[in-house]
Amino acid sequence: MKRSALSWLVPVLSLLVLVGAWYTAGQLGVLSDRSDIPPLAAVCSAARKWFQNGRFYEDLFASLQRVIPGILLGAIGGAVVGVVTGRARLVYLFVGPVLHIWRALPAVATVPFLLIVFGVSEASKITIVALGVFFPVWIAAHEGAGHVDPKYLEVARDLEFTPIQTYRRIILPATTPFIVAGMRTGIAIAYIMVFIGEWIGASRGLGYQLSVAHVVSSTEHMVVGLAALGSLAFLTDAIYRTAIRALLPWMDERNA
Amino acid sequence: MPEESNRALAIHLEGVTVSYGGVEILRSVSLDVLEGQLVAIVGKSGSGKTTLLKAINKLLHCSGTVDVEGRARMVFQEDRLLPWFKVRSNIAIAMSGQRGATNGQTSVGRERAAELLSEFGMSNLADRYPHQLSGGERQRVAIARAFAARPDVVLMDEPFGALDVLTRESMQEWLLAFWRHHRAAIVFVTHDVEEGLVLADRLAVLRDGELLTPTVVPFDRPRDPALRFSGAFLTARQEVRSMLAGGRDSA
Ligand SMILES: Nc1ncnc2c1ncn2[C@@H]1O[C@H](COP(=O)(O)OP(=O)(O)OP(=O)(O)O)[C@@H](O)[C@H]1O
Ligand SMILES: [Mg+2]
Repeated sequence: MKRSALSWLVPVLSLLVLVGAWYTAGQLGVLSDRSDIPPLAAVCSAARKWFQNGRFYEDLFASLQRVIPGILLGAIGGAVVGVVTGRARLVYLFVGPVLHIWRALPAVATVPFLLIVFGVSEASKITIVALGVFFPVWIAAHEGAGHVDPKYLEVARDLEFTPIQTYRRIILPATTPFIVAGMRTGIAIAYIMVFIGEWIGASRGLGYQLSVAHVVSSTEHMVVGLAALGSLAFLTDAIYRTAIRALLPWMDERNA
Repeated sequence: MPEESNRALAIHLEGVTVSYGGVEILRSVSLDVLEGQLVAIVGKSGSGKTTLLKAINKLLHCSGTVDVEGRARMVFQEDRLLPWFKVRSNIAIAMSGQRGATNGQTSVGRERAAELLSEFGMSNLADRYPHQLSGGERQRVAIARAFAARPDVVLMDEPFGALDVLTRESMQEWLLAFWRHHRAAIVFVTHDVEEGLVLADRLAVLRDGELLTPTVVPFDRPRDPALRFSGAFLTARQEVRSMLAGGRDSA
């Protein structure tokens, strides 16, 4: 068998084994006798109900409407501030302390505070996501912009670039791989933040459904919610990586 | 060469000294290069060749006089193509530094890039990224970039140093053919004595930061590749070698 076929067949098989074992354990009654893990059949019927009344899509879109603008705002803000603090030492000395203190906090610990300060609105939940994304992107962009290989800056001087040309042609592209890596971390954090935000203050969304399932102690609804949230985060990451590979083909092998 | 007397100076160096942390890397270097002339600087590793070119290109601080007429461009020791641009843009960006254009995609830059690539027989490489090229191809793109803005002075830092002997020799011939149509004063740095003799009008030895008086390379142009095997060439090579070794060979 070819390597490429193996590389997806084996992971699929591993998932099938897991689901099969879960199903069998449910059929044999092992799960309900000895644990609170819901049998697969119960989870499936919970999922079917969620899909049937169209509620799932409302929750999905509610979450996406917070996650996507939050990621974009946080990433753009982090990239811009990071390039500025990475290049302008005085600005960094001025804003650095506040940013570093805030960054050192566990992101989720700030959510209840932010919800009170900004109120329980859509804008506040987007802000919470954006803040979660901002910090990893900021620190990555800051490091990247601050460590642009001097050999490329020499090229800029040799070719008599203006300062703006130097930014556009050397500093920004050289910082891009750092921003891309920071954003990948940011996307993972975005889902944590939207989940916490919705858990505490929302009436729609995947995180909200999980909080409801928690209140009524319905483990099958929790498993469906977790599966949905996990798949969404996984899909976002996969789409992101594919998009980056298509848009920035020079990144993979730039040092090869 | 008799016509040299009425040619203008492209580069004038006098008493150029560069020090790092109190150590003098270049000691009072003086050199005149005429317009359209090719001067080779030959020196061992660490003798200060790269430092000298950077001083001429004003990429580092030095004391003494550095006068360069017109626009200077450098071909760096490693190619230094920008990994995030395709070959076409890597050449095109060299065009816009001068005229305040905003990006490498200006039509002037693109046209010039296309022109140079077709002249180099590399049009098929225009849409590749630098990491998709061989070492020799990368070096030729770097040379195209250096010549794109029609500079008056080109500083070349061991451009063929990383290539195998046969490729290096064909690149030397190619450079001479190209230079015939794109006259610029060239300072060509190399550690390879033969390379210096094959290419240059004049050759100067750089030894531990001191530039010895340049000597005229007495071979007519265009130069036959078989020149390397002639007696006069071998004699000249031996002379330069003994200068490199600090005169110890001839003692
Ligand atoms: N930034 C620097 N700081 C301190 N010393 C330096 C620096 N750059 C170069 N040198 C020293 O200056 C000397 C000359 O360096 P240079 O790079 O000019 O040599 P080179 O002749 O180009 O050598 P090579 O043939 O290996 O490229 C070396 O001894 C080197 O260690
Ligand atoms: Mg060198």
